[in-house]
Amino acid sequence: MAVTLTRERARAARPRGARPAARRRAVARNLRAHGFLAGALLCFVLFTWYPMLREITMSFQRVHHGTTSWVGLANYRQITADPGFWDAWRNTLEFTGIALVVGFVVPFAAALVINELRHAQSYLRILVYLPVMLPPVAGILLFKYFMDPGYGLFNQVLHALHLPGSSWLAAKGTAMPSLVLVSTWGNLGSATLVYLAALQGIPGELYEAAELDGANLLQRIWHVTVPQTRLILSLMLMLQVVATMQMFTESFVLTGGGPQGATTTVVYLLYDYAFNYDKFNTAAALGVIMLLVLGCFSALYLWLERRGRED
Amino acid sequence: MKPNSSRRFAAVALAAGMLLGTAACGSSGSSAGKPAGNAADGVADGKPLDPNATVTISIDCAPGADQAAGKANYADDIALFKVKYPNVTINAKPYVGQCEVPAQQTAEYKAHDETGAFHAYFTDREQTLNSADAVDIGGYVNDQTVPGYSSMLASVKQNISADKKVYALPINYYSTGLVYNRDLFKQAGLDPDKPPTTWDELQADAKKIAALGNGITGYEDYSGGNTGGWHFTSELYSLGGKMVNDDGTKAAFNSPQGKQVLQRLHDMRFADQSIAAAPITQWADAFPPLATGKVGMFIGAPDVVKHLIEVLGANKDAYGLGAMPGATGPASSLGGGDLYYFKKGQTPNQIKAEIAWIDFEYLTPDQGQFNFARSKTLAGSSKDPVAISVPQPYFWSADSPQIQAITTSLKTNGNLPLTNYDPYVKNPTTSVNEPPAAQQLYKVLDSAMSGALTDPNANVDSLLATAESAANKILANQ
Amino acid sequence: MATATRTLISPVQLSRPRGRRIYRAVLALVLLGATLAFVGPLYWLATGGFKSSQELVRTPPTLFPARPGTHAFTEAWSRLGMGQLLLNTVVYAGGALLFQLVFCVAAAYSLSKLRPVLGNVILGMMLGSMMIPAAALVIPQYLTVLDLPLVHWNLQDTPWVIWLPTVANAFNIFLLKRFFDSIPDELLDAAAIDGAGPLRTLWSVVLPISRPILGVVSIFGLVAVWKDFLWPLITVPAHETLNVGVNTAATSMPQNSLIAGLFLASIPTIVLFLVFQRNIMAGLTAGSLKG
Repeated sequence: MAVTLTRERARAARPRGARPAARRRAVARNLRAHGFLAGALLCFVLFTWYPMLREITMSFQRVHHGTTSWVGLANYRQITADPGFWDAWRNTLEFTGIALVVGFVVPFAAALVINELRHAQSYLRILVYLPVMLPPVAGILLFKYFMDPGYGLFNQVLHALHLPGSSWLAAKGTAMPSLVLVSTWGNLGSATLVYLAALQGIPGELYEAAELDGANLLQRIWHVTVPQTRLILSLMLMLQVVATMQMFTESFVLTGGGPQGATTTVVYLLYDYAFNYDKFNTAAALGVIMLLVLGCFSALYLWLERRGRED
Repeated sequence: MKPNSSRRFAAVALAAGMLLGTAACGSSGSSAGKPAGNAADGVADGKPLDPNATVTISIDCAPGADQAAGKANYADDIALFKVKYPNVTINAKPYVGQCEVPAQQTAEYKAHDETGAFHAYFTDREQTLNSADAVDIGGYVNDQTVPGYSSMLASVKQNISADKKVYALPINYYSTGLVYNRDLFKQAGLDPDKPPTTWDELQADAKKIAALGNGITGYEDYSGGNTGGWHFTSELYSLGGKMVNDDGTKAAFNSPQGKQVLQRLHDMRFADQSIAAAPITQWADAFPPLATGKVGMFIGAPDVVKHLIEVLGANKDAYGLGAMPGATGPASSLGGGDLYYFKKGQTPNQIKAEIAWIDFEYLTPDQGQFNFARSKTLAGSSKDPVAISVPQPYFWSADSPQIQAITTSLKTNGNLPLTNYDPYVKNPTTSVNEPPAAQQLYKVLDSAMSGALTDPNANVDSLLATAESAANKILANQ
Repeated sequence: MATATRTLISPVQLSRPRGRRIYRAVLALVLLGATLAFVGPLYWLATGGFKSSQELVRTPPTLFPARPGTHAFTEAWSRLGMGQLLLNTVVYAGGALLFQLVFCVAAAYSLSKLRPVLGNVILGMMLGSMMIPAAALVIPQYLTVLDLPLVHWNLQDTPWVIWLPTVANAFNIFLLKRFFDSIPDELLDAAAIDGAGPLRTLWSVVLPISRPILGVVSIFGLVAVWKDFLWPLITVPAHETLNVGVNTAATSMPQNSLIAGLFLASIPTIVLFLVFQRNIMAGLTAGSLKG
């Protein structure tokens, strides 16, 4: 610092002060620019970056009757010793897996179909977006009634059609797919609209050219539609994985993590440790593990994405 | 020009919102005072509050919008209290639903945001003491400030103190029993005055009730949200089983009693079909089926009956209370209750005033929650249902002057068919304490309960073995 | 027009008799299916509140309420404290929107046009946080708002606890920055020659042409606050949002009142959406990231 200042002064001593003036202007410009940035930056520091560091330190500490002490890896040992830890990861992956297949394919197919229709397009768009506008808990609680194995509407309809009913949320095997159904119903609207926008950006000539080459419908989808929307698709894929890995509300409201712990997700476990067992530091250790896992996933995504672009 | 008009609308709404927001902001926050040596702050001399003292206190868990009767009673009580202590201001924080949602309670502790007197359940002791926010009130409570204090039941006293210090005052205390629908008993040809007192009888009765058809089931039980493990514990205790070994280091529920609990529930669900298919995974979810007359029996405390009548509008004559069934007759089981802790850092007068208010509202016969004469008057003019208290083991022994006075008042003012509760009242049982790491063990046993109740092919032995190994790991890593 | 809207299936194919028949069938099927799937549940919700609790759990279910009554609605309104919940939610969502617009726009403008030193590093760090699942940070974030570093403010149960963290939204800044990047520098230079400072330029040159993206960011901002569950559940227990309040109260209401309450809670946004759907749809479509 001192060195710069003396150099500054030495230059200022020179007759023509063009460069210091430029420098002063640059400093002023920078100050202004950082001024514009300050509000958002402060929020990032307070609510993202600092908590991240804090989570890491917390995960190596424990609090007893108000005093904090370092405990090494004890929190990590505690969380991994809980058999619920591995179950929670398995459940979360199951949800993510099914939600990807359903929640990725359905909106894309919906967008494809809506885009082909020459009538009622805006009606359909409003329809698919309606559930997005409900308070999520309202939409979720609604399904609690539909999915009751006894009086629930779904089983009543199935019985009326002489089809076997399902246990829905009441059995270990069907609970998670049922939650995917609830969550997809509530959220597919936004993804559909994004895909629709992307589809509308595809130049018609590409389809015409493909048709001239003799490509049938599926081939046109595969060779024109998918490549043309690849970037959006892969971005949505990644956002969706990150979002579904954080599933909590549906389990919390509908199943309480059951039956037999089949819908206890990682975030649910984290919540339990923090707020039901009063073990905030163990919850922080779980948070760190979650950061690492999703961080690796994101890195993998970026790497694949870059490689895909280079090819 | 829609975008513009919408934007203007948004701007107006925003401006309005900001104003309201800051107003809301200003009114929140706790009113715990500074511990200054001021004369107006009073001294911790073990005497009751000076009737002329000027104090502002805060307390949570006042009845909210969903309890019309309770809310009216509470307001009336504050007015009555002010006759004796005209300069005490009570800031009561109402609640809706369940007073202590675990997340929000923990949040309050972490934020050190409790009211001056703050509500908790008996089972929250470890967490409350760990927050280091509760103050020792040993120097304040005696027979002068809380009449009848020294004659409180040992099991109650044990729950309000720790390490020989007193931290709380109880406001509710119960032992678990059996809530049942008398109408369904009659319809099924059972004697509504003789609820089952053993689990074998309960299973047989449930089967008869389920035979009524029309979506009616005989019995229901929890299997999620930590309530499954909680009820498992109750039922295990009622058979004489234990949750953990004597020094609390190993699980002890993988026992003949534990197997009996799960096997019976599994048989009732799948062989007898006397339990409904939909699992009950949250505390409150058990009540609507009871309130709509779809379920015959449920393990619960007297407060369940009150909830069914006042909150869910159920028929007040329909419910009976029996003792907790056991292996051969009424059995002791998990007990519970509510209490108020007192926040650190308050002036002696604030603590005195809070004790005076809690004593008045919850611990004095013919006043507050025991003011059945007033409840009767209010019930007469209220359009909302009122259940004038169901009897339960209050805080004193049956022969204490307090219980005598309360029982007399109930007989003249009660609006519930008291004889319906005789099977419970006449078979008093004692209560057993919760295991260590209770919530974590409950979570583990949720899975076992859930397996027994939702999986037709469940193997009880392996459910319990899995739960046992999980519980042992948890207990070893505390 | 026909060439402009050429999609997967060619107009020629569609205008053939067979194509037309298939198209009609698909259209009818889609309309029927979509209406059942998306309006059906709402119909059940709307009529459920008029039924009694016993009728709600009757088998087989009833299509129309047997003896319609409005008691459940009034009860739901008062028991839920719906007015207060709605007001809270509007305050939270409105404030969050305002803070996001002001701070995110300023930051994106700075990163895009003023380009401060270390700007790219900061942007990179912000974008990096997009990869972090919000739920994984909820514990330390929560402890932070209980006792803000240095100033030691407790934000619990104040609107600030909802407002401020929403500003740390990298996705918004990214969207805005990308849009600002597409505004030619000459436009800004012209304003600068006229003597306008950066704030003026932002206000009178950049913002007016950024309406579409501002619309998108606003919708995302509002919807995020409206839909959030875990964060408001733990941070504003005494002044709950509608979403959380409905769940809390679900534990203490007769079933028909609960259904009525769910319906009442859904009305405001559905109405807003139907009224402004044109703008919302246009905004979402225009603002979506294009390839």
